[in-house]
Amino acid sequence: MWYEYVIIFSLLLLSIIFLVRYFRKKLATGACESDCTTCIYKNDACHPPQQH
Amino acid sequence: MKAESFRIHKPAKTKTMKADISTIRVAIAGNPNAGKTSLFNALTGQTQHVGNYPGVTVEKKSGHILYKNYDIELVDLPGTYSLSAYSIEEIVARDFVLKNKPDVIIDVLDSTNLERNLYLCLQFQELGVPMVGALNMTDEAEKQGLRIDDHLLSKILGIPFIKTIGSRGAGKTELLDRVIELASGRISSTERHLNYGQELEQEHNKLIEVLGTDPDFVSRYNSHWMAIKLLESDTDASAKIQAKHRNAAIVQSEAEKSRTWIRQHFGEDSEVVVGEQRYAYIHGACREAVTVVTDQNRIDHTEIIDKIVLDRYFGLLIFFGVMFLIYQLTFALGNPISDRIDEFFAWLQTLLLQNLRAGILQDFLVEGIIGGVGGVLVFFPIVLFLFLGLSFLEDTGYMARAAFVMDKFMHIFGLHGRSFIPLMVSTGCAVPGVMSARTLVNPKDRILTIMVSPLMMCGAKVPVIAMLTAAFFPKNAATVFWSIWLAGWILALLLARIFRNMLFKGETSPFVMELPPYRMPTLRGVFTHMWEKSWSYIKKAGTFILAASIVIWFILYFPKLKEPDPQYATQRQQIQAEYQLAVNRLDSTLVQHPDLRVEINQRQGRLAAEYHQQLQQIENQIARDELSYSFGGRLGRIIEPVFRPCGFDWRLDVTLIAGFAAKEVIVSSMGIIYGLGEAAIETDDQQPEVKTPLKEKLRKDPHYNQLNMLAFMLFVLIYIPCMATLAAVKKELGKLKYPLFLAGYTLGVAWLLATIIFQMGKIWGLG
Repeated sequence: MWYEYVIIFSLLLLSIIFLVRYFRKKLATGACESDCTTCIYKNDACHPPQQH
Repeated sequence: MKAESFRIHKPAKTKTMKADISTIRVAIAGNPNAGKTSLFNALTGQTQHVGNYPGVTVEKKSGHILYKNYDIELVDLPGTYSLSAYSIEEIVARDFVLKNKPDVIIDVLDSTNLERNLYLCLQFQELGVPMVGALNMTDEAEKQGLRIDDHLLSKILGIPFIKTIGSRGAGKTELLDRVIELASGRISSTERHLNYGQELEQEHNKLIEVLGTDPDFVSRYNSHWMAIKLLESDTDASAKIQAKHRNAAIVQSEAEKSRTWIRQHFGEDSEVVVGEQRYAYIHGACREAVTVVTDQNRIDHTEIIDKIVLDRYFGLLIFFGVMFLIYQLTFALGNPISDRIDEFFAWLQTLLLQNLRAGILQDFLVEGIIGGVGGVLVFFPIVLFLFLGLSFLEDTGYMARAAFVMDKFMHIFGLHGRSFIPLMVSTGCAVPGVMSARTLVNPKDRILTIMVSPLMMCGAKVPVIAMLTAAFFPKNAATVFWSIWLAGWILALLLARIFRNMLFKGETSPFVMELPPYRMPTLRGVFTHMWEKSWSYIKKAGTFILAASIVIWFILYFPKLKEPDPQYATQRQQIQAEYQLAVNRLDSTLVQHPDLRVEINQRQGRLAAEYHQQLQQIENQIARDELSYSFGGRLGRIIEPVFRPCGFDWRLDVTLIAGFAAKEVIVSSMGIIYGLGEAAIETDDQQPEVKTPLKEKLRKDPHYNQLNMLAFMLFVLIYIPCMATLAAVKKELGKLKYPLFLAGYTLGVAWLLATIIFQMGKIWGLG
């Protein structure tokens, strides 16, 4: 049925968007789950200081 | 204890704050394992991770409480022994005090080790920040026969001290009262200068004078403290002077002169002389304020247990034995529940097969969603019990002993004793494991530790190994599971030795490990830690694994074969014809011999079962052809020759590629692959057959046996860490070459080891 394809392809699209964002975040933050405002290493070279 | 009203609240926005509420910023500092986080949790009502294990706090955590019209912000700093610039924790704690200038410091002191803890306390006092000392764990000190006169100690050192028990929250109201009094100036614990003796004071004063030539610098940094730090050859203080003092060259030259003079005069480096003076002062204070009550009948449990667990040889055996027990218990308790969950998902799949119209949506829900996500969730009890065991060990104080025992052993393999902590943390997840290697001061030790940490069996590898051990080694699953964990350790140590000899030459630095007293963990503490770790597993299953399963299902479902191979139709017709012929023959026999009804009925039953089995085989073959025709199948076929020597077929290869995203995805992709590769045919009563759990499918698959599954489990343990770990390695070590090297060497070693095991096993006739 056509609507089955619509549901599945919509979910596929959402999954791809989620995964791309997930991987981009992991790569950008070095997989760090910390919030910069609480990170004790914020003086490290994670980001330029203004981004903390 | 007074019952005061506490209100815990999230940081209030300035706009909504009432005008009459003042804010007080408080830093909680102290030695590692002095109970800072326990006290922080008791004060704020939070549930931050507390471990009877030095180095738990690697983040600066903050919380707020509203108390007596004061908004008190509490910041939990990492544990440090001193304020020198030796380790990153010390610099972090020190910089926070210097730059953020908290209104009050709560220095948490372990009352059972007061002399050592007061060393840091004195250094904070020298910084000139108002401070209150929390004499924590006084209950344990009293059990050990130590009676601390907190009033006398306060008088001697000029710092208010309050007795506290962080785990129970005892003394927290008095502590907060004192914080308010200090912040509002009602009492003071201002800068008190320890007299370092005539000679040192003379040099110290000279440096204060030179530092005073730059008033801007003196207004930003405490000159007394800077002068002491210069005498202690503190690199960070030197760097600050170099960067910010107007007469940096003169200050440095004067400092060097003073240090040389002290060295000549005392025959020791100036930092040693300064340290000795501090300890002498502390010793004197403790002699006055601490009474030791010796109880001949008192049994020191810590000492007795330590005699056994810290034994040079037995200690190692005990560590591996304890872990063996944890894995045995994990399997004994987790596996039955895991099996029930597995059956539940199989039932759910069957339910959908029976109630949904056959088609793409049915396939998607049954194989993609339930097969993928359900496959991972099945192992949640195993993960839960494993983390329960590890949290229990951590909270008792045993892990610190394990690190101590492993120290010598790890040095043999070129690793630092402190590397044990990142390796153990990697047992949960390699990302925090890699991050916790920051505590290693020597860069070579750090790189080496990071390079081998991903070889540990992390929580994501647990479901893969647990499923395969349960499927192929049902009688001794826990032992095989533990052996794979052990293999990770052995490999990490061997490879560390090789890398140390070849790539990161140099001596390891010495290691001092805090050995906290044994404590009976609280139920709340253990369950909180267990839940913290386990919750992320469920969260990941519901988000990342779900999304990954949908994509993997798509890759393995499309494109569809237009027509199945015509030979299957011919085979099917042939089977049907043969079956019909046999049934007719039995019917005519029955007419001729009605007395043989029972035997003939039995034969008809057997015939029908055989007929359905043959049809099922054909349908399965068609399903496998479709799978093989999909995008994923084609990719698997391309790389199949590379992994054939390891004993893996293309389906396993596809799961390994998917596992690069996260290791749990191996299980979810297996759920999808073996679900899609198994056709659900309808029986005579028009009901689809009951779905079988993934473990059963794997066990029945003729391509797999104990040998190639053992090779596969080791491959999964070793090969390329997940993407998140590689990203963490890149971030921690700064250069792309490190994650690339890590990915390359782990893939190479995994392939080599799996091939050796599989080929040797085949030669010995095990495959």
